[in-house]
Amino acid sequence: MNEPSEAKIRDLLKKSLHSPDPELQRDLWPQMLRRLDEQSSVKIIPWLDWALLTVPVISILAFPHSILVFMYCL
Amino acid sequence: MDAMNAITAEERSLVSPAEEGVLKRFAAGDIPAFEILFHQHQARVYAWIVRIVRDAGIAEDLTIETFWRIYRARKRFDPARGFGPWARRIATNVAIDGLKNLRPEESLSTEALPSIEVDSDLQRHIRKQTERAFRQLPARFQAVAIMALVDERPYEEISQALGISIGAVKTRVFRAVRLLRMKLKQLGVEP
Repeated sequence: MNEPSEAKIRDLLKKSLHSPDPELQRDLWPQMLRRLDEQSSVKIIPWLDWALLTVPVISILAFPHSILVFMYCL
Repeated sequence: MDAMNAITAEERSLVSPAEEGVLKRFAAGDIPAFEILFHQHQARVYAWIVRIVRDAGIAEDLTIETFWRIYRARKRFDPARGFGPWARRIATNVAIDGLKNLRPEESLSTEALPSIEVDSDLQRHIRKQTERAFRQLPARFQAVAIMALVDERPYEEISQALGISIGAVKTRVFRAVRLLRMKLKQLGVEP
């Protein structure tokens, strides 16, 4: 590897990139809790969606003509 | 041996019996145990991520994302191996994903740039073009360049954080430097 060239790039990057404060300014646990709550409610919805979807699918399979009724409703 | 699987004696000694109990409870999905770990490690995870993405707001969001992924992956976690190195590896992946989501031309915060005595227009131009070229690099190259070149982290630490061999880290740094030099030349900067 070309060391002098790498050193130049290193210097250039150090001068050019913003140096962030590595200290965390606040406790992130409340946000984390919100995220956990959101995800647990998201987990429940798909089951309900699947249950609701099952009814028309079974109806269509059992009574193919019922698709006309569903299409009319849509 | 996979670098990430190599647990040192020092790391093993860091896992006290009390901590091991918390880790086992966490692995079983216990939220209070997760909260203990979150408070123990959030500052370190944030500090690691903010060094890679260089933006406090984005780093906070990515810290949350990291702990969310940690929580989701809790069943795969081995309590005997320690939480810190595992969290750091996940944080690195999350930070790289965060960099991918930034548009190349999107400039991160330019506050608190290192002070330079004589900040001529030319120097400002060079710094701006360097940042621009850097943000055009693939995310995995940006991450490795920051860790190896800007923060000057040891290659071993980088290899553990990325889950790749030290040789692969060196190759990635070499490619990042070569690509950055090429992009700088295209932008009229000769490093």
